[in-house]
Amino acid sequence: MKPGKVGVEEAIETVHRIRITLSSKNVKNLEKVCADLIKGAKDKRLKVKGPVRMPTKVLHITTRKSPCGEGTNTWDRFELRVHKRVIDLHSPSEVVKQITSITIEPGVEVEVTIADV
Amino acid sequence: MGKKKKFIEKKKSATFALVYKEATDDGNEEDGAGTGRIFTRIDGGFSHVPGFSEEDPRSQLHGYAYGEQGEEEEEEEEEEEEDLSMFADAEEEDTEETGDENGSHKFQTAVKRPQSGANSSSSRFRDRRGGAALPDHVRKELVDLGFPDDGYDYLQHMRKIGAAGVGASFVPTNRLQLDRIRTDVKVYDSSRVAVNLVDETTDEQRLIEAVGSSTRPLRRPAFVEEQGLDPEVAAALANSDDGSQFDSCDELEDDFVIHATENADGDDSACQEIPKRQDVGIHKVGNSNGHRESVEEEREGEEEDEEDVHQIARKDTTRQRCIRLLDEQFESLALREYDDDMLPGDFDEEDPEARGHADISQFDDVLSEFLADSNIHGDKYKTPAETTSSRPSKSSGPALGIRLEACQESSHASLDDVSDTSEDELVIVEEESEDERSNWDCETVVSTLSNLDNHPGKILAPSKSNSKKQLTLGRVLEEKESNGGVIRLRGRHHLPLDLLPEKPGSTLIGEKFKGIGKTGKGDKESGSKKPVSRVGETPEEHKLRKAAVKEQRRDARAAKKALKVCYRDESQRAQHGAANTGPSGIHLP
Repeated sequence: MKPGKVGVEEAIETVHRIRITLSSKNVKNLEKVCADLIKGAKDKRLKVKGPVRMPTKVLHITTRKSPCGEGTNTWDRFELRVHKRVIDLHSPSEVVKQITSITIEPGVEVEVTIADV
Repeated sequence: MGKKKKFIEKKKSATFALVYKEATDDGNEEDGAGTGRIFTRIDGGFSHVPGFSEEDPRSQLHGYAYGEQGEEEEEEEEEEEEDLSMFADAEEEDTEETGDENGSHKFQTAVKRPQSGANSSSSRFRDRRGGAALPDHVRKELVDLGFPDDGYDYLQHMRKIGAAGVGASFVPTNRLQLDRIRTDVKVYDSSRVAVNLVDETTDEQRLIEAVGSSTRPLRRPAFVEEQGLDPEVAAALANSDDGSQFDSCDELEDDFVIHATENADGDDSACQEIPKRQDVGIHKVGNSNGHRESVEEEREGEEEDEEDVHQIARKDTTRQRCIRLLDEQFESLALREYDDDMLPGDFDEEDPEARGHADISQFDDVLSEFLADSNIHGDKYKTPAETTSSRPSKSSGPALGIRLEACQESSHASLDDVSDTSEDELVIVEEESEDERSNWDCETVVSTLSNLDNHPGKILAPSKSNSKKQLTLGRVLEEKESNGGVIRLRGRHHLPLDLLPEKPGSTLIGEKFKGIGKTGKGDKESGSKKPVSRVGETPEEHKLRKAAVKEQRRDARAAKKALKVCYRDESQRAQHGAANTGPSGIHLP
């Protein structure tokens, strides 16, 4: 980690360790956003690690199909899958802000964690 | 082995989430303003992150502290912010404005200042203005409308009246102007109040009423101006309040009769009762002195009619002249002729003209004789029964259904007959009374029938039992003879039902069944005393009893099966027999 010199220019340019967490129900959109982010970061010559794919969290809901109690006991099995990707960067925060603002995809939740702030 | 150094330490990090924010109207353009996505801090810290915290509405809203940036910038911002601070209206506190760099801020205690490594030294707390400061005219308008001056633009929630053709027109309200109003005082004119000495017996209420009844409120002209009334409206109100107007002409007065009777002084009867209609009429007729006298005269006579009015009117007029003999005669005539007591046709004994020289009671029979006299009336008043009885020769008189010709014919005959006989002989028609006539009704007719011949009995359902008879040899032979040697097969299984016994086990064929049935039933009958469980039986006795019951049931089953088999055999045999006997006309199912 570069020690941040107290100066006007460098104050803005202090490189932080930034972790971007992307989560979504939709894998396709998620992968697309990931790819865009990494591409954007690489264009700015940033040190990027990722995307690290976290294990998918599956929420199971099993319910009776019948609205009443009559009939054969058939069950519906619903599931909700949440996918999570993590991208690590070393960059100043403003740059990250620019990058994340560009890539817009519905249904993808973006969280930016900046270390040492 | 320690833990591997983590990429990010949670406690020293700031986390932002990308969220959607609606575009606001205040004209501030957002970055990425197409959909308005901004980063908001979600970890609850307050450290400043370059590039992220500026956009964060959380930091702007609450004006929380942020870390230092640089001394130069600090000074500049400090000056600006103090001027534009939203707390400019707040009361000045001495502690705030001293050059203390760690000047107390009202919300300081609520702020948690994270000890961040980079910015821990010389961090300052500063008021941060929230959003754009409201311009002065906007603030003035807000204050005028009554909103508090807290830097929030309430006008964004207000709607302009009459804009965009809403259809509302703006009417300025008449606000209460406290400086121009006077104390609300009512003035009463109490010049007519009679001051009473207050007794102990007087109620307060009555006193108040006494005071209030004769007082009238006065209208002050200044009242009009204060309440904002139109002068016309005020004038109308003032006029309506005037009590004297009400008494004058609008109210109906029904006391004209009282006025009328007031003139008749000393007339007791007129004052007591409700005056009759005649009084009214008379009142209208004349108002002279004679009128008064006529009233008196009328009162004396009890029966009064409309005609009396005219009479008295005539009297009234004649009074003015001296009374002549002719007048008196005329009056007596009028009274006599128009007197109500005299009904037409009422023959008084006193009336000399109506009398004859014979007593009236002698003529009681006249009417009946007159009616009975056939010479005068002919056949008009005669009933057909009378005509037939007068002529007994003709037996066949007209019955209830009367023919006109017969009637006329008989009438002529009767006339001839009657003319021969003496007139005094009356034809007496006797009618048979209802009781003597032989009235035949249903009961009477029925009673003529003797019970010996028609003995009444109960209606019963036809019994079917008599068809089958006891089967004996003699009977079989008898039936054989009667049927012509043919044994009839009846029933579904085509059995000679005539020859079959009614009860199983009573005849020849039944013997077979009997034998089978007997065995089963025999045991039962012999052992009709079923083993009953007794209290306190030993297990062995219990076992024995159960075994006995089982035996019985087994035997019963066997017997039932045997019976069934036997029956089936019989039906089969019957079928064979039927098949062999001959004509294929016998159809077997």
